[in-house]
Amino acid sequence: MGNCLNSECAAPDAPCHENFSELKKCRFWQEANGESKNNTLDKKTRSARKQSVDYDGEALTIDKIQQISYRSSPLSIGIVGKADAGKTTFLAMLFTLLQKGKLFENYSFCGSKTLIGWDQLYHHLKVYQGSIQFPDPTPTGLLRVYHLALRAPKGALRDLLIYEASGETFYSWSRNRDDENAENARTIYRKANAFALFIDCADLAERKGLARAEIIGIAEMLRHKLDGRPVVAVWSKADRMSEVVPELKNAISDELKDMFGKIEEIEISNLSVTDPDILVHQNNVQLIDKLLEQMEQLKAPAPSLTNPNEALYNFLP
Amino acid sequence: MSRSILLIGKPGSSKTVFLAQFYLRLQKRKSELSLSDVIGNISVLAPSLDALADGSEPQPTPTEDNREFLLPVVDREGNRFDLLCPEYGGEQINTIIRTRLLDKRWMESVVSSNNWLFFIRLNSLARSKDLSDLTPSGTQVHDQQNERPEYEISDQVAFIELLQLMLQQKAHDYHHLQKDIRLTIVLTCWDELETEEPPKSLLYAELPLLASFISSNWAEDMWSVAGLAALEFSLRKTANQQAYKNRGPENFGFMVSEEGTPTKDITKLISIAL
Repeated sequence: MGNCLNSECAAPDAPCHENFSELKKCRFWQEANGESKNNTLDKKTRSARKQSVDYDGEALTIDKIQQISYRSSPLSIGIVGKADAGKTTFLAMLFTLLQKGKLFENYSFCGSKTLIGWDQLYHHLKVYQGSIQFPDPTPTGLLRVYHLALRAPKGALRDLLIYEASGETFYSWSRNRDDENAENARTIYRKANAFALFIDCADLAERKGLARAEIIGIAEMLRHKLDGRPVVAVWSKADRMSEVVPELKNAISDELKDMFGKIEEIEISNLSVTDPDILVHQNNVQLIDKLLEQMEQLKAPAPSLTNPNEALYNFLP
Repeated sequence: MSRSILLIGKPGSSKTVFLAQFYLRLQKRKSELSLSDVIGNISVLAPSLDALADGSEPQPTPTEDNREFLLPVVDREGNRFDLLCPEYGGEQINTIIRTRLLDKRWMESVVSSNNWLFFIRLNSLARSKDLSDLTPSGTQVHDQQNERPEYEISDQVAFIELLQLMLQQKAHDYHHLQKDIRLTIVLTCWDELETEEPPKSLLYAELPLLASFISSNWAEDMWSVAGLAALEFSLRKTANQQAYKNRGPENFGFMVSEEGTPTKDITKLISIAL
């Protein structure tokens, strides 16, 4: 048994596109399986029957962001940090909280072209037999883009893209900007309008100076030709902040201030100690709020009415 | 040309019971609405009508039964419209979300209708605890790498995704609020919920992301939420079965307006949807 001749019909895995309960009664199916008496269906006819949607709902790859950019100039955030710093889990927790009614301060949820991708992240954080499964590390070589369509207070649409890649690519980038394994880090650095720099408190508690050196190495690359793009320092796994030597934390904060000037910091966690827990239930959402607010402040003057095609925003680079 | 109201809902969301009760109300002239034609073939509804007449709950329509069902209705002013259910009992909604393919019948129904009735049965939704619910003692949360159930789309995401797919077919422009399509969310089996909360507040409480999605995309006067108890109560109790047998199913059922006002006339749902 073969597949249906109608390229837009998924039979036999899905119901017949033509609504036949028995596939053999469908002429597309008949032709695909040698059951047709007259082969009258040309390619043009088949093409005209296209009814599938143009996106699969999963996280986008970089070459597919035109699915968003065709309708607006999206704002974009790069999630930057070493391996196992909690970058993917942050995204999973962000969507978990949004699903449960946590709100951005100035924006409402208006949709997503990557809704299935978000839901797959959320699936990891569901409790099953008393356990949860943290998301697998992002595979090296993969750059995923998650999308949120947001409605701003005055009704404007804001498309937000969040770029996420493996920690290894950022590690390679921090050692050599042109490293062949740092392509995804370079792409994120080039395309994002703002950055969340992840600082892993658990790693700082355990590896201390080595962990600090890696964070500063990534931060150094980030500040190169930053051109005023906002950076927020994210102390992830902050439920373990008490285990971080205060001098070490202060030293990193000071170094980041030296590098970036004014830099906002925020502590986040996925493990609640209280209910609610600010680090979990508030700050994971507030991180995006902070970045959105800073990106909005950077927006160019509104386009003149005489030139409606002018881009709404003119971010660097 | 008549307008059509599209009735959408996952399997088990009480579409069948509503259609049967709605049909009975029109047939018995217990509504300001009436059938514009005699329905020549009610075989799709017949098992449900028989069950109700006998005081028992209609069985869910077999999921392979993907027949379209249409009720032609007219109001007192003579305005005609069709209540259209493109997949009476089938799994097509789940398939559409999974395969992202809309078959021709669905396509035509979506494109031709600007009045959508979206049935959601809150009590049937899967509810999982997640990491944000836990206040761990240290042993409660651990990373488990095996024997996880396969990914399955969560209910709230499925509702949003279905609306997104349908809006795409209508070429919805996300820059602007939707002012052409009237969306009515119907929280079905309202009696099961045992709540005093108005339907709209309940939608925000139970499915907040869906509520946010709708309110961000629809103009305020183009969407609403209602509660519906098409049976009025469970028919598992003998006394309730007897009441149905003795007084007729058309005397039971109620709906609740967006603000929480109850009414026995469930056909008012159609006025809201229009």
